[in-house]
Amino acid sequence: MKVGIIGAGRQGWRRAQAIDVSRDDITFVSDIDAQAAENLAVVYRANHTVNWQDVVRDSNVDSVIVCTPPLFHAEIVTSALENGKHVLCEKPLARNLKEAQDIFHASVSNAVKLKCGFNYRHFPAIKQAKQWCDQGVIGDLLLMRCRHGIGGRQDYDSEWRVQSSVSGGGELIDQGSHVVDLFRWFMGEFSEVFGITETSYWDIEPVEDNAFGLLRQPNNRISSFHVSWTQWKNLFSLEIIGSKGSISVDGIGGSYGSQEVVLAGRNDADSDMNKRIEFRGVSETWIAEWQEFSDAIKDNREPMANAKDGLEAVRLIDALYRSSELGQPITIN
Amino acid sequence: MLKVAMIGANLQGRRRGPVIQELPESELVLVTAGHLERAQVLADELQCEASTGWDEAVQRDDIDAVVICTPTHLHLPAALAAIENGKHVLCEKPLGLDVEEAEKIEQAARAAGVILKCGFNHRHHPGLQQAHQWIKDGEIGEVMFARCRYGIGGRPGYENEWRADPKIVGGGHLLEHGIHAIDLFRWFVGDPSQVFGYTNTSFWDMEPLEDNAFALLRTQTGVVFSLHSSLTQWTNLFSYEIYGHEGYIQVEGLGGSYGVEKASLGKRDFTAPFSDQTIQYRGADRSWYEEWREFVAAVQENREPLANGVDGVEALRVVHAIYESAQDGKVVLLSQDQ
Repeated sequence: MKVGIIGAGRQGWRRAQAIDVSRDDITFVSDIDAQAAENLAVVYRANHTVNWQDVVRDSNVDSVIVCTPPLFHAEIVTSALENGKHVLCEKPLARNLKEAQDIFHASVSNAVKLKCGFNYRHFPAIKQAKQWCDQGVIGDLLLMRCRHGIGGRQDYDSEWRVQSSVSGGGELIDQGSHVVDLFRWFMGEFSEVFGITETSYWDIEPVEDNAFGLLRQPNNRISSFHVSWTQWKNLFSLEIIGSKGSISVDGIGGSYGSQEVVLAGRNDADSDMNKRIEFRGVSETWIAEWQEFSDAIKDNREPMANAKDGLEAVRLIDALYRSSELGQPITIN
Repeated sequence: MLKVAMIGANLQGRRRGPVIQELPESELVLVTAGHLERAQVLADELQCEASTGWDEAVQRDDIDAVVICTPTHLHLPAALAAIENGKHVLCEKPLGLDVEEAEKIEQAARAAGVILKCGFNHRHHPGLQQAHQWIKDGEIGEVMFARCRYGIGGRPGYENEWRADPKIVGGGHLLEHGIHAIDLFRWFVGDPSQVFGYTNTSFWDMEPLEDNAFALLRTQTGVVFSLHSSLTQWTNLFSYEIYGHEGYIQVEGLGGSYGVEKASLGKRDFTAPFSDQTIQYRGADRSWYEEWREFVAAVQENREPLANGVDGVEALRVVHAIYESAQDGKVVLLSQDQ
């Protein structure tokens, strides 16, 4: 497969490496910063440009990976889809609901694949948890909890992530997008949300550094999360409680600690229900994610975390922001 | 020597009775229960008298203080009877079925000039005491948020116990259990001004009482508290985290089936390795003894106890605000001039 990369920042480099390992060809790189585009292109002997339009129009490109800040997603992704390119787009799919809907509609009306970069679905510990849930090992899923955060870094307040016109919001849309995607993936759809966002530490108002969410399903099952840029010791903790047992996932590698998934039965006596797996050294998902996308194209099937999943995550995030602003729960249509 | 009568001889009575005898400054002289046989069994173990009903406990002149560990619906009549007779009272939480009941108890105690302590024993767990001290000493700076996950898995037949009978209790698991976490938040941070919550009955056959409650509380100054109180936490869990501008505190475990109690303190640092200091509290749960000791000291010094009547009322106010929020699907505002 011939791949164009749009956005040659940190994420572009990560993605390029995964594409290369998967023996697909990076043929074109674009970045508004010509030097950045060239630096990445040189490594993989690709063409480079400052105009993303060149990439999406190039007949020598089969698929496009969009690693720009969210500000540019809607225009680039829509155009790429209309030009018949398959697209892997970083999360969040867009800055807001309107843009996500535009992307979704473009994806429905063009016979190409769109995958949203919810890479957490590809962490082995999370995949294992999902598999146990699908097999009914812990019975009916009653609830989920997630605590996720990072302490930021010095000068975090000057990065593009904290400008809502570029990113769509703060920590809620940043790490919170992954969390609501995982909740949907495990639990299904939610019909009401309540959110609180706060700017507690960083000088980044009106963008938030902390967000709390409660999500309710039509059957009144509730899931709860907190995402934070003031989590001074990095944390990823995902817990799923079912009618027959529970599963917890801790860590996503790197500074979040090694990934561990623990399965426990409801009754202590049920000893074969107790399992603990630690995935040593695994901290990256980029290759697995790229291969799933590439397989979806080959098999002509929907990718995991498709346009609909990207849209629905933005819908939940949007509702959580509105809830926080209004101080009331928001019904999801 | 403080002479004490205990009303109620169930699980809580079995926890509270022995520590009264253990403390040199107090003596348990009488245990009463609805059924004399039950009172007698415990009284024999604790080497004191037994009776039925609470008249004797509240009326005898040689009794200075009364411990109430009956089911919740009896707290109000038992506490009022004790207070009217000039007895100091340690009352199991929740103080009453609802805010009105708790206020009646609190006001009666204030008017009578007796000491009233509400049984929020968690304040006497060493890890939580340490957390409170760290916050007070400014170790984590200005508090931003707290998270608490607190749950147990129930036990077979739970739905048939009095705790699952809406005529006897004023609410479900939040009122029974989660109220401790709310009391701790009030102790660590202060009163919330906004409350939102969801409750459900997802596993146990105990409707309309909830087996899970999720709440988000916010103070006037923007400190947020996220609480999940669960009766479907198959592996018992107590985890309380408090984050401030300068650092963070985590208390895990309460001893016994919750695991060894630990308190950790870590500091914000963007470049150093993650590091924290952790204290592990080995041995048995001593919160009942420490709570009793503090009550007796408050009586002797004629001062407000830790977790007084007002704390009992205010924690209930928050619990019922969560219920109201869950019922109406709205944020409930709590007035600030309480």
